[in-house]
Amino acid sequence: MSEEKLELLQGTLDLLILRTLQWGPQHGHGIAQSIRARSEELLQVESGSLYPALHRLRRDGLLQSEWGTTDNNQRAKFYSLTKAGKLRLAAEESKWKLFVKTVGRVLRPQE
Amino acid sequence: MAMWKRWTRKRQEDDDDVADELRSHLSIQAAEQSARGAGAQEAAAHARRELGNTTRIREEIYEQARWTPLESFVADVRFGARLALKTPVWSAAVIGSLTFGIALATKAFSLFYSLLLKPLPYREPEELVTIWTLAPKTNYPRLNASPANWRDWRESNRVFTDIGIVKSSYNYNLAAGGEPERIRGARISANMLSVLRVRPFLGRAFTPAEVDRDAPLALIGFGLWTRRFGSDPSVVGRKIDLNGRPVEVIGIMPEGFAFPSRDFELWAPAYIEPAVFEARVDNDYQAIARLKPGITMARAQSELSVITRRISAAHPALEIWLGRQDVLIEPLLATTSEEARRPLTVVLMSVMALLAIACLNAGVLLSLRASSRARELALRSALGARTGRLVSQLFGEIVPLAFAASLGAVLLSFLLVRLAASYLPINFPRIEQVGVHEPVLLFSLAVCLSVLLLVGLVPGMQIARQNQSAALGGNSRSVTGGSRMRRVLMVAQVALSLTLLLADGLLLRSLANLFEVHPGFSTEKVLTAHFVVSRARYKDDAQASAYLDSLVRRVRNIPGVTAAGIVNRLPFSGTAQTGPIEFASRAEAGPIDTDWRSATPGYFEAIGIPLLRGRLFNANDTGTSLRCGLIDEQLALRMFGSVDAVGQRFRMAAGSFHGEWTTVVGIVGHIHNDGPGADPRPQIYLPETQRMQDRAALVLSTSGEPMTFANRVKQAIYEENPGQALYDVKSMRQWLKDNLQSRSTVSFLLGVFACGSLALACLGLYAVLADSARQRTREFGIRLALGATQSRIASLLLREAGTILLAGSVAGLALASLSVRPLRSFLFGVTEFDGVTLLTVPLILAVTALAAAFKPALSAARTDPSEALRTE
Repeated sequence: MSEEKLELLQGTLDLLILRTLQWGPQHGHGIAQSIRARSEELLQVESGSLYPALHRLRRDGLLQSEWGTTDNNQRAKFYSLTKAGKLRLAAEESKWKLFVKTVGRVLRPQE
Repeated sequence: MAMWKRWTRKRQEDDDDVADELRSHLSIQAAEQSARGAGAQEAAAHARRELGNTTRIREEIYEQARWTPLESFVADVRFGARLALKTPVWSAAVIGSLTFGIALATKAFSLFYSLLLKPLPYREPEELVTIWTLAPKTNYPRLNASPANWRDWRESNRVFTDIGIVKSSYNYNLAAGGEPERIRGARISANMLSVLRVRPFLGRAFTPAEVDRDAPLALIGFGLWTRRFGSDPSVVGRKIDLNGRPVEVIGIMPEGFAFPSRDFELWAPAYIEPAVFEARVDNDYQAIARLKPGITMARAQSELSVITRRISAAHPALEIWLGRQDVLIEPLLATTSEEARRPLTVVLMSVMALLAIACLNAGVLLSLRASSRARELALRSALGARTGRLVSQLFGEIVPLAFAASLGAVLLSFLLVRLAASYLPINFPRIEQVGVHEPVLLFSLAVCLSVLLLVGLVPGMQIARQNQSAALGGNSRSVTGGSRMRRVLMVAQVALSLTLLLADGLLLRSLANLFEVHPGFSTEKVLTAHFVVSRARYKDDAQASAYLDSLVRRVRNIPGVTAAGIVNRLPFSGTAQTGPIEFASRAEAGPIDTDWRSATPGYFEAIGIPLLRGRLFNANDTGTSLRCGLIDEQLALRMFGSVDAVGQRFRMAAGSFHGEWTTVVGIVGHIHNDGPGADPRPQIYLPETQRMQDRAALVLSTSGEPMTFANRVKQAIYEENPGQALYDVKSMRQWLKDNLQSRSTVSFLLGVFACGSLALACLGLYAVLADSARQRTREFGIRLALGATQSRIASLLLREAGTILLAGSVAGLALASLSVRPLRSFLFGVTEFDGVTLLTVPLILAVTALAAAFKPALSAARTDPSEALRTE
């Protein structure tokens, strides 16, 4: 049971990360902030689970990373989507849309 | 190796990188906080709190890196090795049990293979068979072949490419510069070497024509050639002095040729007199044949059987004392390994029992450790550790143990090979070919490792899965699964140990009985020496017997020698010179099988055979006087009852061959001629002057320790004849011991195994009881607190030991009664259900088990109740 819960979170977090990076490279802290901002503070991504997710996605070939400097001239590691990452994002998005639609249909009162 | 270093370094670099990344995250976060107005320190602290446990994050990322299976395996093994080193006593016990068990099993298997199963070193060895003669009317289960039968078989069979014969009862005095030496030789037919498909590597074999005229030729063995002739090729064609006769060496056999067995170094033509063919006697030749390709042994057996029965029926005179003859065909390998077969089987079975015990012991110890780590394993499993990971780690713990045990076993095996050479009975055939047989070693290792895996992994897994909640709950009392299995393993160990002990007990008693048998002659203060009379030097019988007499005289004159004499074959020399005799006044009784011996007058006194009636031989019994003989009391009683047998006449009667009528002049004591345990035949004695024999055994009784006279005897004989080679100069006691050597060795080995298994069982019992005591600490604490005495606590633990012991003994007795069958032929003077053994052995077991239980019981009794109740 505990394993399933983890997996769900994992999959969702991955999708959020990929989405965030759609608009260009970003470092870990920035990604977390972006997700927070876009979800209007509802989704609090723990940094503790963010970084392992980033590295996993990188190992799986969906992201690539590079050291760079931020606007404030601080050193940070920037992540960006690879081609495979873009494809995965598109696929995951349509899967998610289908998921939402199907569940929604089940949950809707009979018409 | 280099790749691994690179890999590790890269991972280290990656980890450093992640550390940097996290640090950069912290500083960005802190900068943000500062921008919002927090102080530098507060910002940093906030950032750290927000990120959480950086070490855990780094670990998780580190773990993501896909380990190659080899890497994780190596890491597990290293961890396992460290763990093993932390508990040295436990590890030593496991490794020790397995090493001991594997090494012994390998040695026994190797022996079994080398001596019994390995093909003979001839071409197409599976085609070679021995042809035994069956003569139902005699007491012998089977006989060798007679030359007449051999000739007839060769002529009429269609199943063999050829049949050869060999007579192996020859001793030669070799006098070739240097000390005279006795060489064992065999006489072979001209075709024997071609039947075996072996050729001399220098020179040539005999031709049939040479055999037919008894040409003075010989083939010598490689070892003899190297030893006495310095590997000089010019020996071929040279004449050597054998028994005083010049014999030409026509060939040298290749290295490793040991036919019919290890000791033989010389081969001469088997000249057979026409009279022997006529009379169809002299069943003294081993017939070896080579099957034609495609012919099965069954087919050869039935065809030869028909032929033999037909021939037998055509000679009714022979059938009177032989019955209708038949044949038995067996593979040559079986014939050669005959003597070693039964003892080896017993040894092998007991070693398997020991191996089983060793594995069981290792299992018990591993199981104990697994259950002590049950909580840890269960916790990890509950926290989400993959089963695969746990299995891999358990595996890693077993591997170092297995490796150490394997290494130890290999080393010990090779050591045992060296020891075996000095311990094995000298008369085991093919002993020169014993070594460590690699496939056997691998097999034993494989068996042990698989057992180790089974016993190491299964309990670990079981415990991890079953006891997740219970173990986490903290009450160790509930971890019982492993302990039941351990009890079963202990019962099995006790059962097997008991079986081994019982078997050894029976063997030892048999051996003791055998040593105590009075064989009819003295075994103390008697010295023996063997030699062969050179007939070339002492041409006629009168000269030869005069020679023997002067030898006896010289030896008799040695101070300290109380009597001396000569006989052609000592007791316990094997079965030979036996044949039927018939009495003139008891013709209807038919011929009786007896041992024929030729002796000088002093023999009986020297060896301690008593004279019961009449007289012994004396100087008046010469070659020309009345034919006289002695019979033993068993024969006298059997043929004549209370009537005095002195004066009766008898003669040798084998088929159509008849000896001269001989008058009984005295009756002597009966002896066990074949061995202390066997007593199949009575003996008759003729004087050497009247029945001269080339083979001679000098017997003298001494006033002191027999072997101290050996040099003086050699000196005396040298003075009479410097060219006389002596061999087997031994005390009678040593002679008896050698006869029983095979039996002694088996009893000794079995004793070692039984003690080893007892030690292992004790070890296991100790470990199990100690663990049980630890588990029951709480219970003991409560009992003590409630007023139980210390002895009561101790007795609780002892009761546990007792249950295991009882169950094990019952199982052991059942097992023993099933498996004692192969021992039957070894038993002497005891039955399988010998009372003494059945009482002492369980007693020994109980005492040893008590010793093992002592310490745990003692510490259980000394439990401090308050301590016990406090600890979990």
